[in-house]
Amino acid sequence: MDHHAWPGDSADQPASISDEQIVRLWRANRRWVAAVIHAHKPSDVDLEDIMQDVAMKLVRNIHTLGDPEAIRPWLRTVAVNTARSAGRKTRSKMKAHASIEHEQSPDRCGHLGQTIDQPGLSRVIEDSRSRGRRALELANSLPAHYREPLLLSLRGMTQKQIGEAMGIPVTTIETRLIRARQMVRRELLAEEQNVTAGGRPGVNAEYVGLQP
Amino acid sequence: MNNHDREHNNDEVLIGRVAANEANAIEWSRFESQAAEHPGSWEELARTLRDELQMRSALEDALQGVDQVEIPSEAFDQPLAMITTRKNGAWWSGWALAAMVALAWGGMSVFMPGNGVDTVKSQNGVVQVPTAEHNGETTLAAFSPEQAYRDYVRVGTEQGRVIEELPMVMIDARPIQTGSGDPPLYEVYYVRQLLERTRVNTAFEMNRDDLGRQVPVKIDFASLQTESDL
Repeated sequence: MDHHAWPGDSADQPASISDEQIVRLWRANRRWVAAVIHAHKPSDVDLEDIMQDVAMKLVRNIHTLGDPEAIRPWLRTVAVNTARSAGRKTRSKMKAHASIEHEQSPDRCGHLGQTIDQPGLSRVIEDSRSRGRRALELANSLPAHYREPLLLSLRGMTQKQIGEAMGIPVTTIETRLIRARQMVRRELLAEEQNVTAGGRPGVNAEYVGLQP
Repeated sequence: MNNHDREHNNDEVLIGRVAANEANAIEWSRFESQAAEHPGSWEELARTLRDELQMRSALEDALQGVDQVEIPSEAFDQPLAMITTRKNGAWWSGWALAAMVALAWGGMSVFMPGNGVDTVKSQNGVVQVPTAEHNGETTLAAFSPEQAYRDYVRVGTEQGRVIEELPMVMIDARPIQTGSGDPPLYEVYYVRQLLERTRVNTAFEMNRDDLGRQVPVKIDFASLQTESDL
């Protein structure tokens, strides 16, 4: 079957969506769908498995979508529900990229594995990447209504697109993004100050978890 | 919120939009005017940009590979009924898997959404059903069971009640006598299955008492296994 019935505007001849159109639709949206799944899935579940589940549901249920303009909020709902209901017994494949970077010697530059003649520069780069990873960890620990818009923003969606997908006014998205970034930065600064003062990273009596 | 707080928030909104590359020319102009009065604004912008870029880079690493996830080819090869979604073994494997039979009845108009029927709309979770007036009575306007089912699945999915549509199970198939020269026709009996979710305080299952009568028995959730396939 090459065409899936899509209730269209015409009562006489419903519009249909071809397999090729579905593939294009998936490719155009999978980037931000991955961020939504990442924001809502259990930590021990493989992201790509859930992506495949969502892709299958897109093919299976796209014809039930009455309004083609509503594809983004519809797809987000499917992604959120699929991520949340992902099997607890599924074990994720550990991605070793980050750990490989940590194992590299201070003289090497990130993923290229080339020796840098400027140890200071490579150290700056590694510190920057390490800070980015820590910031992302903190972002992942935010409450969902802050975490999701932040990850979608990092993934390149505009505030208007995020609002449309989540069914929330743009002004609310703006506020949530500001607060999310504030919380992440506040915690990062606290950890960095602790390290500078000789304390253990992340231990600070004022910041027990990220509070809105 | 006082004027100072409101102004502070507006500054943050502006810096946030500039850092996210969403600011237009007017907003950039406002930022520059603001920075002229508050020199620390450029430093704040630089810090925000740094945080943004570092997190963005880390997220790209974390989601490495997902941009290449394609729709599995079998999604298009098989009829709607036979699509399975779990790579690591279906939760229904066992009792139902043995009974599943490939169903291929594509092209039979009786199973397709009827023409000339308005799609049922969902508004604020309430399904708006088209009605008609007939002899002074309001009745449901005629629309196909397939359309009603599809709308139920759609609205249920939107509301988080419907998790997944499971493969149909064929129970029986009987040939129907057609005219000579006509393609063969079969009457198919099948079961549709939906995986749904709801929240309950108590639930009952039907069991039999000592006299063989069916009686409802309260389910003891605490005694269920802690790890389930779901």
